[in-house]
Amino acid sequence: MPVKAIARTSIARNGVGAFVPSCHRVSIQYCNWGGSSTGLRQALKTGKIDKFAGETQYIFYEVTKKPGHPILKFHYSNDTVQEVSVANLKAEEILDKLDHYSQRSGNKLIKFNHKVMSVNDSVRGIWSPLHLPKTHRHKI
Amino acid sequence: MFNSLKTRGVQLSVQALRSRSLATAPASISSSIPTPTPTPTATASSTASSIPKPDLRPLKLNSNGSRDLYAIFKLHNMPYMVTRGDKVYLPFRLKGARVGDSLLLNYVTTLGSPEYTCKIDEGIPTDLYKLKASVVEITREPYYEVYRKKQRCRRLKTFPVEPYQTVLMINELKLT
Repeated sequence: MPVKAIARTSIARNGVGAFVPSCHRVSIQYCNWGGSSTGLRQALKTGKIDKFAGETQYIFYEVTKKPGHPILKFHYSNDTVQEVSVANLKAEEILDKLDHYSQRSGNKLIKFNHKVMSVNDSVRGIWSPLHLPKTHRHKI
Repeated sequence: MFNSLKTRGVQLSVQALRSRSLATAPASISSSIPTPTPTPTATASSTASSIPKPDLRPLKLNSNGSRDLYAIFKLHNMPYMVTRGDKVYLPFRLKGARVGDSLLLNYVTTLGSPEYTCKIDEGIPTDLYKLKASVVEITREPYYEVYRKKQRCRRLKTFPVEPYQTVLMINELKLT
């Protein structure tokens, strides 16, 4: 009788093998007139955002001019869009926001009280007192 | 910038997602891969080289082609037990690391298969195994507030807390 392989579907895990960054699109919205957009306008004018975009070439940036408070919209690959208001922020603070949110995965923020999250079976298995020969079992 | 990652046990190996302008200076990166002289990781490997090399053949035969293998690596002296494909949640922002970076973890104290374990507290010699992780995410924990009450003051002090979190994905764990 031939040996049959057990069929197992592989689990999609971003980062095992190839890693595809989650944030793929950032829309920057600013107002040409309002005072709350001053920082963003400065960041755009001085080329700071250009420089950052050059460093993160895996993200598509779009800049739109629209009246209202300035907003950064981060599009993640799990179909979530996160809006961050950058009203009245300085250029450096806006760049910090840009840097920080573009490194997220778009998942919900969680507090994880353990060190390692694993989907693999335990290498050693679970200890059981019944899977020992009778002579070796623990007796009370 | 590339040498800013000086934590013991971690070595920045590949700059996968850095831009071309930054990656045009890979001489420092590529040179840092085989000869990590200035980093404290080198001291880890030198201490490891002073101890006799263990014989990992039983581990290799028992580990089902590195599939049934676990490792305990240390980062800031904190042990993390991992297998391939595990996510490591670090409760801080790893200095100098960015999303997409690949880390070579070179301070492993324990390697184990279902039946055998190799444990050296000073670190197993780095040429016996390969443990790689990629930085998958740098986020924060959910926002919460901490209240503190001082004596003879009727008001509560409010402290916003939003700690950083670095998520590593174990890319590769094998015996060489």
